[in-house]
Amino acid sequence: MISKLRQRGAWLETFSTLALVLIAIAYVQGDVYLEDVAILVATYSMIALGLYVPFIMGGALSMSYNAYLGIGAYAVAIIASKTGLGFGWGLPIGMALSAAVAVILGFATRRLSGFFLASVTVLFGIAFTSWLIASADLTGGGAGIPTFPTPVVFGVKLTHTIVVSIALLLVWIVAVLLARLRRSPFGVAVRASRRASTAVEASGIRISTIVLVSLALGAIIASLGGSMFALVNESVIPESFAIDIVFLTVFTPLLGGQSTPWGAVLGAFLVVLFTFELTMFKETGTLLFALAVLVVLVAAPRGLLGYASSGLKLLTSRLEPR
Amino acid sequence: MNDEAILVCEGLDKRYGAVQAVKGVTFSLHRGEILGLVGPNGAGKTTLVDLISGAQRQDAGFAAIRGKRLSGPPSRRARVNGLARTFQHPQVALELTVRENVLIGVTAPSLGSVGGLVLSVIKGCLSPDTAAEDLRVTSVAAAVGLPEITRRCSELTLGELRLVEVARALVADPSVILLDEPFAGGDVHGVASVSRALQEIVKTGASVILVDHNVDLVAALVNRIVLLNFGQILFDGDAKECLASPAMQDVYFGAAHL
Repeated sequence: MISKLRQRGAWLETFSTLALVLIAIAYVQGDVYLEDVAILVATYSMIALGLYVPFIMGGALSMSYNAYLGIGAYAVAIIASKTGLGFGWGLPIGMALSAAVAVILGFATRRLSGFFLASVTVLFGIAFTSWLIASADLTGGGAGIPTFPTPVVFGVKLTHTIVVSIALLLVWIVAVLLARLRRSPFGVAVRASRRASTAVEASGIRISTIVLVSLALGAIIASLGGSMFALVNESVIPESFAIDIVFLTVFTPLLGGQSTPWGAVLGAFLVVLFTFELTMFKETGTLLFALAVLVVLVAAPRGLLGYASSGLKLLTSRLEPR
Repeated sequence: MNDEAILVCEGLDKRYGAVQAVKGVTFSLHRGEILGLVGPNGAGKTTLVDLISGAQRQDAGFAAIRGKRLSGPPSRRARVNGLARTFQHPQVALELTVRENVLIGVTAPSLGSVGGLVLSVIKGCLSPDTAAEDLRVTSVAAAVGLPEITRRCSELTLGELRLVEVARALVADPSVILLDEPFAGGDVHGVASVSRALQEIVKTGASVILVDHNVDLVAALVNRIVLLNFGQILFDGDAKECLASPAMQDVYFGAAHL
């Protein structure tokens, strides 16, 4: 009975979000500017979704997501421009590399948590951008890889519009899968380990291992986002993968809501709206975003979606006869 | 009850600097037995529990379950040796429901290795629901006295949180359960519910070590008592005999006995 209700709610969430994403795809189609905004939303969403399992569910704040985003983007760009392999290889190679880096970094920092973990991983994120600029032979240095051929799949040219649509659909797929993962045994164990790690460990689950797997999963998601970003732009430059992007993204689930991955997506949308879209505020967009985060933290500590869902519950409980 | 020894501790030693917290502790726990481990504050009970569960490492001696030596972190002892425990300060994820906290006890074996974790990520994305596991969670939770498993643990009383821990331990079908100070901070109702939970544990055939400093409470619930003071075993035997023993008088009533 309970699980039936839960399943029904999950299906409702799946289809309503699909409808929203399809509307978004139809709305931005053909308008280059809107498509650029859309790919930014998709990219921020993928970073936010990457953060979701290790940070929001597990409490491990690793900040190196700009590096995973960059690895995914450069993997596609380098393979498309410098090797004879198809661009498609860039996606799995980027994801595998990102996962490997996340595991190595996570293992090296396994005794750190909270502030110190965040600091060390920020340093790694900064070092990654410097490395991109320094290794000109591989990455094109400061100029990046200015252009690579438009990818072709089965004879169909993947135009700007098509890739943007695919990227938005991927956000939907990842968010739906993460929402399912969250309530699965793995998700329950990750969420429990946040506050009751001693007990989870005593039940037979190695905390250090489950953290590493979550970090690898997050890195894979961010890398996929990076690959899509590169495919849309058909170029990569190091500045796109600076650490700032993580500082903005880390707050997105707080803003959107933490109890579902869709909170991260909503937050990502708001970040882009505040920092890029509201041109009249231009410089102050980031400041406005910071203010919005503060307001949400004070007024609706569970995020906008958390607020909406309790409002909805209140409404339905009033409507249903008792 | 039969005489098959499930857990054996042999010459366990633990020293913190100048303090010998546990000294040459040797005892065995039999199948289906409830053993009370008592002693005043600072007697070494918690250290002994930590040594058995793997939270700390002994300086000498060993502990074994069914002839297999306990080694490595607590997670390994839970998986390999079938050891489960509860905590003096309940370790329950308060933002999760009773069902979710207890579910960990059922699903932990499949999440015990890297391969298992990766598989569970894939399976979790494709088919996240746990109907079969939930049935087991429901029945064990109801048996220990937690009928409403959809409640969030932040709404529970301390006594109910202890029951969540007992259910989480019990649902894993362990061979030995360590109950660490299950009465601390509890009321009369709490004592009654723990003793009810104990009966449920014994039904499953698991052996129990019940740790507490309150000798009277423990004596009423267990078959056998091990009395610990200054890290050493002073008495090991029948609960009623223990209460009347000179060792007990010495430890708990000190000067009065003299």
